[in-house]
Amino acid sequence: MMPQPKILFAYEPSSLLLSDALLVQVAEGGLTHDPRLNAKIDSDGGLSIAITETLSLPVVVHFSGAIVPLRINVGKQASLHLIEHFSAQNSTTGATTVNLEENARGYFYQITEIPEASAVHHRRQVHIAKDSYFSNHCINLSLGTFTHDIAIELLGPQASLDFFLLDQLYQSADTTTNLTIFHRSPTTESRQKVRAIYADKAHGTFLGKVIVDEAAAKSSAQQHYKTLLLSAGAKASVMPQLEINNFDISASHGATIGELDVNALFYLQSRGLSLLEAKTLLVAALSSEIIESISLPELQRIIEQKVSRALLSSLEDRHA
Amino acid sequence: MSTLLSIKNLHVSVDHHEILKGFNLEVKKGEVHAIMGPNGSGKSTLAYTLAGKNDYQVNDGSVEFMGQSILDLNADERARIGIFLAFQYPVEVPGVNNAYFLRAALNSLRRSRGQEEIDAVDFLQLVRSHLSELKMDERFLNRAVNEGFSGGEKKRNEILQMAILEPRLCILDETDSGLDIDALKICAEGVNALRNEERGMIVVTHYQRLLDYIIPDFVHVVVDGRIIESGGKQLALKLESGGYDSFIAKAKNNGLEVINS
Repeated sequence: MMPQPKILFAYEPSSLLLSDALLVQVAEGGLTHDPRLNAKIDSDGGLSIAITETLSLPVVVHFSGAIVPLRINVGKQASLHLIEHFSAQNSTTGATTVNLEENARGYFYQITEIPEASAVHHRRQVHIAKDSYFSNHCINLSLGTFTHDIAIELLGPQASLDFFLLDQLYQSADTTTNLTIFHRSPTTESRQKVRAIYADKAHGTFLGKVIVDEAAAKSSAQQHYKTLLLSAGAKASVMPQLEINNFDISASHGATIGELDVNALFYLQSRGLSLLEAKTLLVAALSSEIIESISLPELQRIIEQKVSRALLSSLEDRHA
Repeated sequence: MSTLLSIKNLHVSVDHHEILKGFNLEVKKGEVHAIMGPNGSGKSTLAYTLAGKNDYQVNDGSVEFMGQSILDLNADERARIGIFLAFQYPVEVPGVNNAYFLRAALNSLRRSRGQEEIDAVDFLQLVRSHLSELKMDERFLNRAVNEGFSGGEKKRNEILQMAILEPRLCILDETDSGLDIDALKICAEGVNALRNEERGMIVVTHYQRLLDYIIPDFVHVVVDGRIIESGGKQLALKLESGGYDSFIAKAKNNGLEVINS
């Protein structure tokens, strides 16, 4: 018989060092739960959480080993900030399903730090009902292999999505993100902002596809991707795609892959910043476009520190 | 007055094309030198070469700043010893906060001078005093460096940086281009406020009108990569009335190759 995960809910510092959060630690063992999360173990060993109110504290789910299926329902007019933290040591797979009922709000943050020689394949499905809003930040600082399949459906009118991705990869990290957004109803909106920084021999692939159904008149879709390659050995593949079946919509997409702007580097150096300082400032500027949109100040600060530490360490290694 | 900058027989190429062909100039402390010349004569090449841009290849000659050769120094090292270039086209740096950048630059210079880093409160006080002189809104500080700035705002931002970083040598590369008369006066007042007995300036310009506000001690006419005539402010007035034709003709008569007139 499959061991049941122990679920701990506690008002205590979490693995992400948030001073005030509901921690959900997924590991082997029993079950304790906070009634506001309506948590239960499903027959397949997965964890279900059903939110029916607006939670003032963010919920942190920390996967340090096996990633069990996570199913989250945000009820009508409810609101949830949820942080998923993946730092699995071994190869594993996982899946998260999110359902937002009418007029719900979901703010999800996925922090991925897969160590070297580990591999994670994660699937995410999100369903957004009428008048609901979903914001998804994927922050990927992995050194291992990470494959992320994401499907987001905008099901009802005025359903709205902001998708943010920050890939900051070093060494031999390898990440593939397959994102598909379905506009199923009229007046739905999706905005994607992807910022990727690849150094050393890191390799990143981002496939972003938007499918606008015939029924989705007056919808809008934006795709905005920027990728920075910091070394000759780093590789990036970025493919924005739009499949439009109703022409009464607005859509825009832009994708750039490039190196650091030599003119900007010279400008910063001409004011006294060293080459290392100038590079750090320019790279940090790109990642800050994602970090600044994180609505939890404490999480924003933590992510900023993690990203800066990784960046500085990598640039210093190259300048040593 | 002691020599601040000494340029001797400077030859510089860009993309294997020689632009400066034996340029000579000496700037003493406290002096303002105007460099004028037609398009393509090498004025901006001189400015970028002094600032240390990588793709400007020095083939011959010497450049000494306060008695030290600077040709082997990187752009940041030159900035830290006191050389400042106000760009003709200031570069937009998306995502980099103007105040953060300015403070980082100032602290980098202060560290190199053995001074303590300036804290945020003192820095804000310092910047505010210069902002008002340049009639700049404090919101400039919270915007990304030069991003979305008008031409005039960019030039004022350059003068603001110059005022805060307090260089020993200011090189102004066509600071007047793209400015209306009011913005020109504000920028010129900002530059004039920085004039003192210790600081030297090189003002690169096409037009005499800037020199109505920043009065130079010397005016040099550059044609085909070298100075062909030097004089006082009257030389700029002569250029304004007669244009560069007579100077170009004189250069051709002297056997110089004038490509872009």
